[in-house]
Amino acid sequence: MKRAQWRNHVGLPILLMTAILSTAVTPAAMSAGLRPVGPAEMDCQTVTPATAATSALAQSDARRAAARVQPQVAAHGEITGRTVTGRTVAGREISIVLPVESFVAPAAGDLVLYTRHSVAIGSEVRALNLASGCDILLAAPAQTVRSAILDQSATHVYVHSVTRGARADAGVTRYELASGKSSRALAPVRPPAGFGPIFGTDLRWSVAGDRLAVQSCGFSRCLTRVLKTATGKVTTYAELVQGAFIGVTDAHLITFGQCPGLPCAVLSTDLATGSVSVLAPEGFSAQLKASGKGTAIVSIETSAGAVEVVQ
Amino acid sequence: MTRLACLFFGALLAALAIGPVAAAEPTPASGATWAPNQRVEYRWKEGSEPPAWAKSAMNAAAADSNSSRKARAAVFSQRDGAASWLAYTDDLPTTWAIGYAVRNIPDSFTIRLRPHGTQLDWGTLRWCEFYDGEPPSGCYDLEMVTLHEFGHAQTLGHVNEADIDTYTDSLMHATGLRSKAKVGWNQHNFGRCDVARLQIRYKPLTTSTPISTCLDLPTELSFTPVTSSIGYGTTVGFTSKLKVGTESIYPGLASEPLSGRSVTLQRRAIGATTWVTVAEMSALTDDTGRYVKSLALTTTYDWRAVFSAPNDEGLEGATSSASRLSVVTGGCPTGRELGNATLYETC
Repeated sequence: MKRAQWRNHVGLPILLMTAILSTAVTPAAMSAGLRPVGPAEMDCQTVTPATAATSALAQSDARRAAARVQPQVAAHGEITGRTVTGRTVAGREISIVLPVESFVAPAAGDLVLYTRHSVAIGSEVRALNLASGCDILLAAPAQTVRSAILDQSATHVYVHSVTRGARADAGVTRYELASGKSSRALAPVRPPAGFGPIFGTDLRWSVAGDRLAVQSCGFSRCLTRVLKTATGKVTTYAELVQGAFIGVTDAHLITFGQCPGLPCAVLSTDLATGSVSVLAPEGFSAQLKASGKGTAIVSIETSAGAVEVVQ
Repeated sequence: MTRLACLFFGALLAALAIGPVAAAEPTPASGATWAPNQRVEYRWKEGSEPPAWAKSAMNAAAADSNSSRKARAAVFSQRDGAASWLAYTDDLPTTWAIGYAVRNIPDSFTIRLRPHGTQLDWGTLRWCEFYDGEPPSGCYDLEMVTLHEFGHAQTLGHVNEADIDTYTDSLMHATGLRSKAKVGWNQHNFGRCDVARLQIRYKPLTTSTPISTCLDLPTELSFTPVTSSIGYGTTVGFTSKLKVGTESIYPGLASEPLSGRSVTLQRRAIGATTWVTVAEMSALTDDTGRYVKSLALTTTYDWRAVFSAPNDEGLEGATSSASRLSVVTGGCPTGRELGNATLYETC
């Protein structure tokens, strides 16, 4: 039997059944917005999206290390979803099964922000508190959610979606966690001619936390829109040479070049002028970190050793 | 008359509108290269081992790279425990790439390919080889995409679409590989402009390997009769040597011997202006680019060798300088003196 035909006939009902079962047994799938993990944990009913998000500000490196994301790949090689596992303060194991259309952000403080979309439940943006085990609904976008990011004060969540059906970019929506109000932060991207379809979108904060960089990438080429949240001003950087995102400072956008892999040139784009300079011709990895002196440092690993550039 | 004039000007306008056809350019490449014909083995990444159908496609891609490189680029093969690896994983450094190559030349490389069913912004990634029967339209050929990644492992970058004539001139597209059933969706060989760059970086596989038509290399043809003066009916050996011109814009290919081509021997009567082709010279198989011919001569001529630009290679033609070979005594040779392999000049 052809696998595609098999799926057409029985696959959807099984997927729906799986979704229903996972709803019944995993903390993330309990009915309402507030999702207690178990009776031994704190009362999650008292937690609101706004208070849940503040757990991102907590300092708990040990628990953060315990949060793991594992893809679920069936025996024949089809990815079926991913699992988030962790451990609460009380030592209780947490396990959330997500559909294949899902996103899990790196843990911040006690919080793991994740998104999921399925035909059965629609789109959700959720916050899992690794300390308490509470799993809270933060937002329910109307479009198909792809990823989300909290701002540094943990008062707003920015959500990237694609349209249902056509899966065209639907822009970035900002949700105020205290009120639940939403507003458009970024319009749908309009890539230049020849860019091709959008394969992936990354949301990242600038080192100072006042600019949101949204990078949209085609098969190999990227463009980045930088939103200054205080003013709402959006500037687009779409140089032909732009590749994978590394970070953004108050003055520079740091990316790899348009490379198929590594090693790759590390580039710095001046946010004011758009001019591009090469920080390293061949980097194997690069990270942008705050220096603590109001500047940021790009650490680049090259074949000749580590290089640090102040930006 | 009016109709003829219209046709003429119409043709002229059409020619002007079309303009000159831009020559294709070799695929860009960068970084250190593997040693000539370096054997580079890969294993399946522990914990990210591909399913059987994907392994078959990935191994086929390695074989495709080996057979279509036409240069002394790396030779890839699978072996458990090897330093390099291929992985079937969604753990890629970017959110958008469906394949990802990392080179650590001369030691190793890695290639990651996303699992079937991965959700991307535009939709669901489906590998054609996943399906037992006829794969659906819109799937990506894993063998082709893996070959694209092997191209990166060979140091190829992405091609500028404006620098190629047709899509299949390259497998290294930056604007996206094609899914079934668009032209090129199941291309299982490097395109001619990919081969061109591999030949520039690694040299052609052998001296008789055809030079990619994405190149346009000058050639040089030397010509050396063994002597300038012979007796009537004496058999004389002509030797010609063909190589890539020293003025090639690709220094690595300059002076590279060219064997196995078609080089002809021509002669011109003294005082005449017309050259006449006498014979095809025999290509030696010693990788020196030499071509030889022996003839029994009875008349003084000017001689030269000619290499005509082939239609199926990126080589320009070349003509050697002329050499005069004087026949100084009269009389016809016997058949035994001429031998069977020589050309008998008219007495």
